[in-house]
Amino acid sequence: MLFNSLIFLLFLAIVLALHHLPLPWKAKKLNLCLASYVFYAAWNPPFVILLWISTLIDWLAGKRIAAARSTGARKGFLALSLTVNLALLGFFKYGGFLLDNFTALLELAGIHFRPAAPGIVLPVGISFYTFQSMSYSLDIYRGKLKPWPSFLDFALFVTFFPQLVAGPIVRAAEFLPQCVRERRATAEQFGWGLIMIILGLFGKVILADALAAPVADAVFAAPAGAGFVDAWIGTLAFSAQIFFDFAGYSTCAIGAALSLGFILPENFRFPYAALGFSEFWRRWHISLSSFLRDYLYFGMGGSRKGALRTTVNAAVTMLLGGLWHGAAWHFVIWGGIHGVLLAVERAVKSFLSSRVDVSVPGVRPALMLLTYFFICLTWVFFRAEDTGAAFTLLNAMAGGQDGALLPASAVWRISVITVLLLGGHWYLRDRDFKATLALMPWWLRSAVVAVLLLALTLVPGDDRAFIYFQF
Amino acid sequence: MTVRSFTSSSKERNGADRWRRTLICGLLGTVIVLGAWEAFWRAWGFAPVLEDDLGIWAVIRRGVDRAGGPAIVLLGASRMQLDVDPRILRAETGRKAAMLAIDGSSPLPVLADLAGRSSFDGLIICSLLPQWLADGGEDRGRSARWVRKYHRQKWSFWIETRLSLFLQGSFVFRYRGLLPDRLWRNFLEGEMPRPPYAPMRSDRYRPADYRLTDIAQLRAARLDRQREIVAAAKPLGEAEFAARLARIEDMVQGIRNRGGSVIFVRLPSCGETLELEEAAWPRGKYWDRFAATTSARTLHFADHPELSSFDCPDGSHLDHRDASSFTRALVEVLGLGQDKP
Repeated sequence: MLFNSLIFLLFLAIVLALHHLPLPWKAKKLNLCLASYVFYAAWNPPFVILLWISTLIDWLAGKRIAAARSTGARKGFLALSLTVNLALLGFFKYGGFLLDNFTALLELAGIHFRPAAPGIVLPVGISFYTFQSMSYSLDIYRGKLKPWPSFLDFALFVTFFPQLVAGPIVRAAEFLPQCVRERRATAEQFGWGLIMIILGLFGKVILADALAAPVADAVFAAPAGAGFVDAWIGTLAFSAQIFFDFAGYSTCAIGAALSLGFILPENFRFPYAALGFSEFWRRWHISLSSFLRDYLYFGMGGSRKGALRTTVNAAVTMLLGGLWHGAAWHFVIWGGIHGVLLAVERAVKSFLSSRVDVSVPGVRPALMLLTYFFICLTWVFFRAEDTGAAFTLLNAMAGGQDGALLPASAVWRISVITVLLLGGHWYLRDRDFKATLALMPWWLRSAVVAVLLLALTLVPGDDRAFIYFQF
Repeated sequence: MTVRSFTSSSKERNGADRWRRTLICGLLGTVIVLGAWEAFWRAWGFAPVLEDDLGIWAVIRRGVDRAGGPAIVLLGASRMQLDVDPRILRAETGRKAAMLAIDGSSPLPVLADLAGRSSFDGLIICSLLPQWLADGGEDRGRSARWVRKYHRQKWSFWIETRLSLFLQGSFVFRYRGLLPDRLWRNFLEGEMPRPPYAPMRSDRYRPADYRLTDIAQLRAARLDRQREIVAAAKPLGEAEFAARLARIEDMVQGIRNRGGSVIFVRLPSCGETLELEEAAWPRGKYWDRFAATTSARTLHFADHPELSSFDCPDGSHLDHRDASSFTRALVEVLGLGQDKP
């Protein structure tokens, strides 16, 4: 069920009510676990079995890894965990993609192979919960975590509904200790948690769906008809849409968890205020980028094996990070471009740092805008229907084609949103959002909450799923 | 960071007060403003309006397959929704009727669905406009999408639909005509928004009251729209038309094999709208050929004075007062009233 749905409001109210009953902590955890399965079953009940498979395999693998006496046995059980999780991911997410590419390769070799369409349904959230579940086995293997004694706690860690389908990807070491003693939100946490849900929904329903998405859709649906202004406005619209959509989801997830007394990690930290691409990845989808850094990049050696190997490691990490987002070449290209940008940044950083004084007024905002410019170019590959469409739009962005898709009102709207978005990110880049809001007088904060709620009530919004649900 | 005195209150000494107070006051403010908004629009003559969306259609569609469900299903587009009243139909025939017509789209995907994926064995009355018979693109319209989505819905969809219908039926502020962008357009045009002239009932019938609208403007807008449809028309070639007729016949046989029956009706249009339709899709070339080949019963409004004497204020739909009489006349012409217990 979507966060922006009436059934979720009803569901959350019931879960909160149950959570505040005078029940033993174990019963409450069981309630949360069952509620999380109900939440997931709202999409497709049979796919709950996949959750169980991932949960069971990693629970058992974790125990066996810790109990194993030989390195070979430890590696074997880790391999079991990784194989099962990646096999689930590989089949459901990449099965069709692999078959298409296999068919294309055979075609190149002159072999005409026409398999039946596999018709594989992508289980929502599989990219998130498999990674989350694997991190448990990986951390035990690395000696960073001991096997957790409670299966119920572990099952809750894998399935906890606020972050089950689109993150943040939570580490076992962050979540499991919270299960030891009863978690109940303090008055502050409860109030702030619900306000975060309102903020997140406003970002998703109003800013992303109602204001930005129609403009992005219009341009990306017809890239050949886009002129220079259309192409840029469409890209800026998507840049706003994906931030408000995804950060909106994460904000809702963190708020829902907080209202239950659980603390989830921050997932976005005003990423469009980043000065450079490595900083962008420390601010955007933080839980995924840190996962890839810790388990893939560092696993390949990180930056410890020389400049060339560092570049290769970063490139592979970003390519796989792109592929994680979707079973299509344009996602791989998107990840690859980020890898190139990171490599270029690393190469020029030492050259520039001795020549550019960032304390000079205007330098930092200029770096921010330059970073944002390149990030927008990468979003073209992320959003485009395919690689050809992406290049067509880039051509339009370079002034290579004429067209007039968008009315002036859409151009103004997205321009204003972009200015406010970048301005807001710049202002908040080194500030705490909650603390900043806390500085407002209470009546102004209340008025803001009321305005957001009124907007959510009076603008029903389209039936759009969160963008990251498709990953 | 120092908290400046004008931003802090000695009562907000801790976070608990701060965010709890913010939330409660925000919620209270919302309720007060919403209540005032609701009262204002009700005073202006607005009443809660149901959205004609997949949800309510799916609820009725699901009822068709249930034991004790409707004995008559009404298919078509907006003409069926505005011209035929299921309550009158029930009163005249003694049989419950379900409105599955979908505004602005071909009924053929729904007919195919009932023929192939349903247990319905009653009577289907299907309004078939000339363009649905003679033009391409039927599988891309709203009806085809709704049929596909209907069969993919999970249990959460039904709960969401019921909750949504409850809110729509209870509160004026949920009406799409009062959305900010619509109100802004009204403001720029210097006019107050009006209640919908054809609001939808819970059985998906839409009683139209043309006194609530600028009929001249509406007729002109509908005519323009019809001209656009005609201009964009891609009439089927001979072979494609024959294939479509064969497909429709398969659907009819599918229903008849279960003991059901199908009646195709051409509902009224008037004036320039009728002339446009006749010019683009001549009756002799399409409807009459269809009527001659199908094993289903067909009825063209022009062949019956009791059906063709009604005026269509907007060129293609009836006012609700005429819709009641039209429904009774339709029952009479079809001979359905004879089955009344």
